Amino acid sequence: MNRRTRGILVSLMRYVAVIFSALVAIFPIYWMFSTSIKLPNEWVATPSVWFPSRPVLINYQFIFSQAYEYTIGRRPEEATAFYSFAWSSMKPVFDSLILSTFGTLIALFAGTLSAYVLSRYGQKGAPPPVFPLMYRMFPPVAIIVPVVIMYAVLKLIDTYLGIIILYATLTVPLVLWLMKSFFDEIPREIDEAAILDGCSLFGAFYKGVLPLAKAGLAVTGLFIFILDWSDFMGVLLLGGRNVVTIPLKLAEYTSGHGELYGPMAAMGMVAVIPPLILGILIQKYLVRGFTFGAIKG
Amino acid sequence: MVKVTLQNLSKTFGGKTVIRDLTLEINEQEFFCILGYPGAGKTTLLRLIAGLEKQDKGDVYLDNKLVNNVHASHRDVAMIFQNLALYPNRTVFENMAFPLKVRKMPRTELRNRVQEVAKSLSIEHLLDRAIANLSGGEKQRVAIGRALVRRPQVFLMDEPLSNLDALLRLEMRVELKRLQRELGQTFIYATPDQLEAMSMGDRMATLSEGQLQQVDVPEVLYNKPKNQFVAGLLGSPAMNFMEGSCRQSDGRTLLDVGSFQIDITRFHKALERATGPELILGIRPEHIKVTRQRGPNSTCEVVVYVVEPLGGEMILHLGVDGGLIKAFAPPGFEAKYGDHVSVEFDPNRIYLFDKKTEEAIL
Ligand SMILES: Nc1ncnc2c1ncn2[C@@H]1O[C@H](COP(=O)(O)OP(=O)(O)OP(=O)(O)O)[C@@H](O)[C@H]1O
Ligand SMILES: [Mg+2]
Repeated sequence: MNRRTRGILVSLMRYVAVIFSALVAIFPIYWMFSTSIKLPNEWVATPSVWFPSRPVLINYQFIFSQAYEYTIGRRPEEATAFYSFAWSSMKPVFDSLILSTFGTLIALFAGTLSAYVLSRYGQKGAPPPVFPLMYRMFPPVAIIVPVVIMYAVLKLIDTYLGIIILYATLTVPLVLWLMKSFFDEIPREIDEAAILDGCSLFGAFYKGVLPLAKAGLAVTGLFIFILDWSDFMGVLLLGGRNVVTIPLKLAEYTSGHGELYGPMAAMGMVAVIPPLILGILIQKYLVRGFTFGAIKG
Repeated sequence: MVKVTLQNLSKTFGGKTVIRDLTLEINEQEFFCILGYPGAGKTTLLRLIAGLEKQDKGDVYLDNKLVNNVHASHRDVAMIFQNLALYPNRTVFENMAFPLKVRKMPRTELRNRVQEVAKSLSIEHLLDRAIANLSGGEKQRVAIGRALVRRPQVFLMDEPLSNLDALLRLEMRVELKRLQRELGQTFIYATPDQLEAMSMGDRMATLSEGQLQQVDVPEVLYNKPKNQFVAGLLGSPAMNFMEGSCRQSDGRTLLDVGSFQIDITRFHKALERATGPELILGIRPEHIKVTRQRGPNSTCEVVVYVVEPLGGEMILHLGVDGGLIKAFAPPGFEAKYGDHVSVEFDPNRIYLFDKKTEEAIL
């Protein structure tokens, strides 16, 4: 075997490996998508239905209607007529958006400011602050009980404010650590040059350093948003009636009439959209952000 | 265009004294160089003047005003950092305009000012370029430009040319000097390069471990170094040092260096200042005459170890008493490893230092 054929073989194997891992990564998403357009009898059929025999939208119609019943075996045409769109069905989507957006913004604001202060004014060579991360080390269940009691006293249960505060406080330590590592990589002379140029201390941060940490901020923001977006425990215990997020709604499809895999998959597809859009928006920062700072490796 | 006065300035970092009781006066419109090895405290000194670091003791005056409690952003001092600290995400124009924007200068005036400064630094054509796409020399100019646009009271420069290649460095040296003359501003320039300090400075200071050694015009530091440290710092190649001890013989005083002796009787007045008979003899390479044959005035015979041709001239490394000294070979001189040659020290150009205190005796 000469060198040329060996080279071709190696690159062939490399492609096979890449394609294989891509398939592994994409398969669950494909399965979710195909289930979301399957008729009920194909959801959990044996043998598995790899390609829906007839793509339908009833699952989407179901989740966006005020349907209280989902009759398995109904013919798709009837189903289409039966379910009509209702704004109230969008509530989980809106709630998820509101809670995750504000939770992320508050955590970014507080965490970024503290990270900057720790990075610049913390003692040189002092060990990094561990305490903010401590309560992330408990399993959430361990802290949720006192939080529930506290929230009951403060009358924050089942309110937007309450859950936003919960999300923000739970994720602030992560923002702090991530952003600190981004700030640590920006030379102090950048701030000092800005100060000598006439900026206040805050001006040096805002006009000098923050623009350089944009990539880090974007990546951290996406990371925190996805964390908040996929929260189940918090909203299960502190929300439920007034506040209903997508994960909570998903749980509802596992009851009464058995497992409603089709609507679950449809809701899953909807849930993918906002993080996906966010990811595309900040795409140009993603590669830079992931290869720089704490999320590296 | 102001005077900078430092009085009994001290700074320690975690128990390590970096600036030690330093008193210094820098005149207005002066190009003042601070020369010191890495770690001497040059950067720290500049940062103290700028207000980026707070002194433990002592006072800083700008223009005869005490500024100990004036925040760095109000001292009206510009500093060019060792690593330049340009904003990499902004264009050249935005970098240079930044200090003016902070001061809320009107748009058109700002634009004119930046253009004007860019022109004087010949970087007009770069104004729209991103910082990342500039060469080292161009970045250097942008950093200088950013400092120039706001016409500060004092310029602090921390080894601004250290990242440039040798040729560009020579060019920028001349240019900075010209710029300082044109602006008539006070420049304080820290560098570890003695050639830079000597060629640019109106006056210069040598700093060692946070302590000022000598402050004067470069010629004086070169010709009349106060101690062995300053003598060894200036000059290229550096001054040769040889240990010796004084002894009396027939009413004359001789410095015995081992393989040869030097008559130092005529310095007897100065020698009274020495704390002991142990002295250090110093002689610059350019004051040693190398000859093939031993002459009547020859100091001693030496062996050639290394021949270092530098194009126009040639440096010889010569073995004396187990040590090496460096000397310039006369034009047309040919030598190779192992040759025996003679050297003659210019008797009017020798330096004597006390071995214990390292202070100059002559
Ligand atoms: N913030 C700091 N904390 C602790 N030590 C410091 C700090 N800044 C400087 N030092 C120490 O002070 C000494 C002098 O540092 P400085 O940066 O002033 O030297 P320098 O003359 O500028 O050196 P170089 O030529 O390498 O730039 C060094 O030993 C350095 O380790
Ligand atoms: Mg330095």
